[in-house]
Amino acid sequence: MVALGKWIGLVVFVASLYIIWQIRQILLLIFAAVVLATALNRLVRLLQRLAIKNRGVAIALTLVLLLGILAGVFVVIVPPFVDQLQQLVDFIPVAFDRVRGWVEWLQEALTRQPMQIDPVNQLTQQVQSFVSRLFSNFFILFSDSIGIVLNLLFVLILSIMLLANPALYRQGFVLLFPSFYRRRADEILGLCNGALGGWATGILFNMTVIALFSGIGLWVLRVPLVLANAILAGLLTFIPNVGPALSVIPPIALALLDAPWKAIAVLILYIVIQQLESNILTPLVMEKQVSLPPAVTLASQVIFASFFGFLGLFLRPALDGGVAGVDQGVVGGRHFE
Amino acid sequence: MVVLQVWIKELLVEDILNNWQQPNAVKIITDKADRASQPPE
Repeated sequence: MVALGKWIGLVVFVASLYIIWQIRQILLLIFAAVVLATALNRLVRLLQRLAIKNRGVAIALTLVLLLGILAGVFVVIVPPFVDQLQQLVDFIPVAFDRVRGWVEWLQEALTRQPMQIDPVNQLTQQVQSFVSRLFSNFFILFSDSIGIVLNLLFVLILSIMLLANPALYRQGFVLLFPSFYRRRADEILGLCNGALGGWATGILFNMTVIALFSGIGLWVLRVPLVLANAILAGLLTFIPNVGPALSVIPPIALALLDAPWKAIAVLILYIVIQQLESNILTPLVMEKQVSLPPAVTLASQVIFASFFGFLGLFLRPALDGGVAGVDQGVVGGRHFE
Repeated sequence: MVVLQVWIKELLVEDILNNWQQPNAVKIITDKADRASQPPE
């Protein structure tokens, strides 16, 4: 009988894995909602500590604050950003054409053998189409309004529900564990809570600082479309390792249109900012964070990108943070009770 | 990433890998939870 029980367990386990795989995109959104609820719950608890004792009122105030900030961002930043991003997407092929022109001229001047141009041509064409596709996809991410609005709405409503009664969801999650492990799981959730809090504060700070520094640097260098490039640099900071490398491509392409020295100056600027961020800022604001070896981080990014697409790279921190969100939510509930 | 790291460290390394050969693994983990739930002195 024990053997039969084990076999049934194995079958159920495999079936569960299959179901989880099928609904992975929705799970990503759910995890994003949990992370958002976690962040909002911090604000709610802060409000409760400061002035407003009633949790319901604190939640309402937090939501009004969040919607206010979102509305402000949409009115002030998003229209010029989307406009500039569209220009950027149009500019990149022009920049690559110019680079190809230079390479051809250089080849001809040096060797007078047009046969050798072909590999270079192929390479620049491939790089150009890859980069254009990448940034067009990124643009679609922002302009595919119906899908984005529906997903945002789903995440927002789910977050509000989690925020309203966090204890219920934490208890539910802990019940997924075997009975002997439940208290230990609860304890681990507590640890996740602290880690996620530190991470969220750190990443927000880093994104702001990088956007600000890149913006100032690009403005000083007179590179066009400063706002789009700065916001892009800030947003891509969210993706460790890969993000900063991606964010340097558009400003370099734009700078190349002006002068080659400018492209090198932009590259140096971004390297300096990244070094500043990873060696000074990150250790300052995320000092308590345990870090995985860089090879593990990079490998996990590639795996996530292949599972969930480009969006997966963005939501990966959210996925990792998801379980913590449940935890944080319940801490909030317990605090309230 | 941070949360995944905590789960890997606590569940996988500390609880499963450290105790998988112990006959009384369940008791060790329960005791650990007991110690953690005691209020600090």
